[in-house]
Amino acid sequence: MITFDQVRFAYQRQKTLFDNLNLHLSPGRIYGLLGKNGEGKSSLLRNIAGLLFPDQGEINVMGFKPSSRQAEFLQNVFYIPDEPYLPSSTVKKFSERFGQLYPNYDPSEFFEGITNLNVSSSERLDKMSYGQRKKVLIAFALACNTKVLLMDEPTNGLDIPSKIQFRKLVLSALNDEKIMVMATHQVRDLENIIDTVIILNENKVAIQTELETVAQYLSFDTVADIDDDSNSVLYSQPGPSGSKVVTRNVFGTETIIDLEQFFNAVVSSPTKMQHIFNQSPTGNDLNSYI
Amino acid sequence: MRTSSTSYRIRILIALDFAQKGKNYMWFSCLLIIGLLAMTLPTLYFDSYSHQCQLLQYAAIPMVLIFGSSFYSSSALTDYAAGNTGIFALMTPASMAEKTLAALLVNLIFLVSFLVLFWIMHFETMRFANTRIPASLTKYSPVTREVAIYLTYCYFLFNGVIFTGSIYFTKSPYVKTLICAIIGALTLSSVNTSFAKYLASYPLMLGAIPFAGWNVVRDSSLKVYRVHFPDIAYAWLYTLPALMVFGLWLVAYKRLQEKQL
Amino acid sequence: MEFRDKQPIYLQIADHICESILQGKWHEGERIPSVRELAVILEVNPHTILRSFDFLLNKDIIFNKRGLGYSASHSARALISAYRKQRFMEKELPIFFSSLVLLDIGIDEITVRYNEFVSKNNPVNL
Repeated sequence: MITFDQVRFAYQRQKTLFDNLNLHLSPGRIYGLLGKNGEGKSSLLRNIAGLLFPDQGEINVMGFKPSSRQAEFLQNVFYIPDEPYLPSSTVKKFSERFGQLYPNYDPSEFFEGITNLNVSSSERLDKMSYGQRKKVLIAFALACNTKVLLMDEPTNGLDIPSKIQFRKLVLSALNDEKIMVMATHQVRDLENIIDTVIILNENKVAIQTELETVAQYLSFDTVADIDDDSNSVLYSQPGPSGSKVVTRNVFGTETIIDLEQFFNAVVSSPTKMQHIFNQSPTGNDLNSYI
Repeated sequence: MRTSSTSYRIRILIALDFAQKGKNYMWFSCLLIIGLLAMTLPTLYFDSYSHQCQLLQYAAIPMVLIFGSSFYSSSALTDYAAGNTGIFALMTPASMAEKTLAALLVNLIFLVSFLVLFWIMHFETMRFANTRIPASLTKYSPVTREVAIYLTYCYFLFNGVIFTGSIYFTKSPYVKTLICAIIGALTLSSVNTSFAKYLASYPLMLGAIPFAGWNVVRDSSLKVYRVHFPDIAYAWLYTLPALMVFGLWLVAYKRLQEKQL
Repeated sequence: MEFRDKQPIYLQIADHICESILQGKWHEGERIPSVRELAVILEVNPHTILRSFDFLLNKDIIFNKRGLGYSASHSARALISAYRKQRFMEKELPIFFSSLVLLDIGIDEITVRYNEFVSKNNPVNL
């Protein structure tokens, strides 16, 4: 369980990244953290990890205060930054040395992971490319079996086969006790594996909702042309095969969710979307909160 | 929740430190030991007193004081100081106290053994050389017990500054800390000297180094008056620098606790 | 798995499960892969798979043996066909009819074509 209670965080006093931020993340879920550049996705993750401290408010991660950085807390939180650092040793030595610091570390899981991600275990970490290093750290993080797993742009630098393997590894590591949070711009890479989206916009959480709920409120479609006087279109983006549109789900029939369009719709008109998500969807009960 | 003990984590951290920096430590040690031997062993070579050898023995003191106390500790906490390395190190599962303690222990292993080696070499080479010199001739004179204690304190104090500096400065910590330490030492001694001058009503000449007695020359008779601390004060004098060293370690720990990346 | 359809993913997965049962990959009355296994195979969040299972449970195509996971029901094939027929009648046929009306095609013309198609593709059953 991760909760944020009225958290304020600012970089060097001038730039407030978020203010009065409330969050509630429960185990057994994969959260997708979306937001434009500079909205504070990484900072939010680092606040959870205890690498940055909030200026105001309380953060609680499994009963721990992250900023205290107790050993028991760090044993159950893994943060994978966008630019990973790894010490200079071979993959094998790395597993031996650092694995013993995590009580639930499973070396066989780690080696299976790196084999699936196509990294050889005899390679040296300091001679690896950015993508390779990222793969090693992802496999290691999953094998540590921490209760909280925070990933900043996890698919950055991964080749196409590795992206597939990444999704499979993450899903097989997920259980009822784990909370995974992934901050990303590469929505397409992750849209099917996340079950809840958190969209950061203008210093706050614009929307936090389960994807299931999104389909109850909104419809996603590609149409040849849009009626000019149509008020039902919430967002549209022209493309070669017609305009991709987001409309309200009036009839209660669900469509496939286009997460990218949903994100664009929320960011371009946040208040309108919040208003929609505050009402109850057609024929369904309200189970989303903002 | 499965967990591990503090001593287990400290042991692992120390083992990790040696695994990561072991090679560097070995080079530093070799360099320092060779330097030390080169400055103390020549004493044994001659059957009679050699002034050069005596000078060489004393020249080893600043080397030990400056390089011996700082080589290992200059990188003690740098991993935590900045960037991606810092993130990795801070997220390593051990409390901040355990991390400081592990770094400090590694630091002390080198620090203490090097100092012990130095004093053994200093006293033993001269003692051995003196046994071969006839009683009537000039003999080697090692430092007095008081000076040895004084130098030992300086050694640890200087080390404490460098240790703390390794987390304070994110870029080239060694150089920056060294500059700070020198400025600090100069300030301390000039404040100490002017305070002593004030108390001695501005004599003709006055020699005073921090945490030690004064040598005062009052007038042109050039008679040197030695001003010693009272006996009770010596207890304080020995605890004060020790407290300062502990204080510096505590500062390093606090700084690590507050580190944000 | 790539999801290209306009339908929500959980329905596409339900279809995928039905297809696997029809093709005989998974047998009637026998266990089908668990939520977790399917999530990994299809690269989809387990909650989505659970929703697909709920959907199929409601249609009695699969059932839940306590502690043993999910199995295809004993009449799964028949139920799938019935479900598909219903969906065809409700969703696809109206679209087909509206094309007939739009293009002014008589039902007799369709009957002729239909018979031709059946005799060509499936002569044994005639």
